[in-house]
Amino acid sequence: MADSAREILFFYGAMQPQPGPPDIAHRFLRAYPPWFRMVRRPAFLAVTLAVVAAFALFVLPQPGAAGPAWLYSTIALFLLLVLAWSGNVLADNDKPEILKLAVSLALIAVLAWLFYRYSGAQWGKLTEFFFNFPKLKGNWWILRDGLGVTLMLAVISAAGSILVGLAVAILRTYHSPTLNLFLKAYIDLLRSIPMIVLMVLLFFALPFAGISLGSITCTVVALSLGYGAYTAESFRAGIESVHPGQVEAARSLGLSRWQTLRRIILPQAIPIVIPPLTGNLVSMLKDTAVASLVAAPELLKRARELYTSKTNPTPLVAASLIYLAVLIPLVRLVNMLENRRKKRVS
Amino acid sequence: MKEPSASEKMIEVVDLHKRFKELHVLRGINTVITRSEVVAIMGPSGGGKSTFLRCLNRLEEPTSGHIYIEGVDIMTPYIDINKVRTEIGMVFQSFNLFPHLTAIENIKLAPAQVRGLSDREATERGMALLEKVGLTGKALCYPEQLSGGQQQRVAIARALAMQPQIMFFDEPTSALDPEMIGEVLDVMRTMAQEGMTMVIVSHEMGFIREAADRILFLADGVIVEEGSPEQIFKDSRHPRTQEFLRAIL
Repeated sequence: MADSAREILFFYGAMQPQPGPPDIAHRFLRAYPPWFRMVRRPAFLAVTLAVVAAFALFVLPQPGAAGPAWLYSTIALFLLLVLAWSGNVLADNDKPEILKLAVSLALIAVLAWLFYRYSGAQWGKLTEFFFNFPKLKGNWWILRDGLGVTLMLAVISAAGSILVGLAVAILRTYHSPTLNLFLKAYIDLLRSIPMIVLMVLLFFALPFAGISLGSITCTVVALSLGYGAYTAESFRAGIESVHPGQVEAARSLGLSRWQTLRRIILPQAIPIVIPPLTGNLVSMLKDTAVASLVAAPELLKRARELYTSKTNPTPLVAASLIYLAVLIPLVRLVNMLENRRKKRVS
Repeated sequence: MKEPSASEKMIEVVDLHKRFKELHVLRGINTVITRSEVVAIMGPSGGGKSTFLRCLNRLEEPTSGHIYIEGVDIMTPYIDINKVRTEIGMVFQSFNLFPHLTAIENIKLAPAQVRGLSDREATERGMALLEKVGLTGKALCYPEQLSGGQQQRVAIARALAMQPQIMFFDEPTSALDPEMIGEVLDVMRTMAQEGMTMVIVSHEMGFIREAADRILFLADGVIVEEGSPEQIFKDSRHPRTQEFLRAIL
């Protein structure tokens, strides 16, 4: 028989109802052993959870109430039980996501509680030194003023760095070798010099030459120049991403270089540049903290003053919490812009 | 061919050379294009057709030679090239519409910015041109919402909005799907009938045969042969031309 004929017969046969056990395929799908199916039932989970809780309440000894051998072995057993129980939930694809989230949070809480209870650390001392917020009573306005100065520095330097960056990027589009030499030197130099060094040079070295900038001016100049170099690179990338045909079309219509830049290139480049630019500005906001070294009265500086006067580092912790509160939303924003751009590109 | 009078000469090219470093792309081109003439440039790829066209409005800087547009040498050092370019409309293979502007804004931009037309005048002119290319309903569309043929017609309207004396077409139909070529060629045909001076780099044989007054056959950076379409298509003299026509017909 010819191969093709055999094939046709084979397919014909395959289409017919198969003899033999009716659900041979289902037997593979249900191949989990009975005990496995049992441990994933809600009832089993509830009972075992009760066991774990009872273990925690009645079996786990007080710290110091038992010998180390008994203490450590019960803790290890408890850990094993907790991890097995939560692993059983988390590994189950059929469990709802919200339950998994709750179990994960509970797991973290339990581990933290174990660490808190059995690590032997003196938490009271830590709280007294670093989280002694009552000590800050009546002094919050100092941190608030500091935050005000920080934000002012950030906004002015942001404007400054965007102006510097845009100017440098525009000058680079002229492709003049001599000009480019200087612009590249500026960009390379300012991108390699640590912000702290730049600020210290401006603040402590320039006065020897007879130029005294105030601490605020100094910070703004340093941040504008330093981040201007990064901004220039972002703008350049944006400008270069505009198709050269756009420039040709604009110039062939008789538009001047400047008109082409303003009406054709920048409107297309700026939306591309906004996400990396916002990222730069977030880093810049963080770098305003360096200004505390040149005595600009911004958030970190004011917090350090409080730290000295209260002889307690809680103000530093408070300041870092304030930084987090301001920066986390901004970081999320950058992320969102980045995602939106990616979505638009695809 | 009789020598055209000075007032009839629209473009005169004298000994035009263009080098890209080692590559000698244009090796001495001489030609005269008269008012209302439709000139098609043909030739093998890499022969310098596009470079030649782009040198004529100095989008590409020629290495040496002279180009006279209406008697003015545009290669003199202190000439305002933007002014010259306003008299020369250019249509590109890849349309090059401005993606951040709507069709009507694409057309309005140059008349408003360069010619100083008021927004209303520019809009009126733009709408009239959109009607001419048959796209009145698409005025507020962005380029990405238009088909290739529609984009190219907007690009033609954009070039015409400057009311140029001359139109250059750099392979205007090469990037189009076959069913869209006709609509673009129709617009170009109308322009030719209205007496526009046109220089077209194209291989649309049917269109060239019917609309072009003269064909320049460009190969290896020189004009190897020129003549009317019948003369070139039926009875070309130069072996390069014959070989090329055999390959594409």
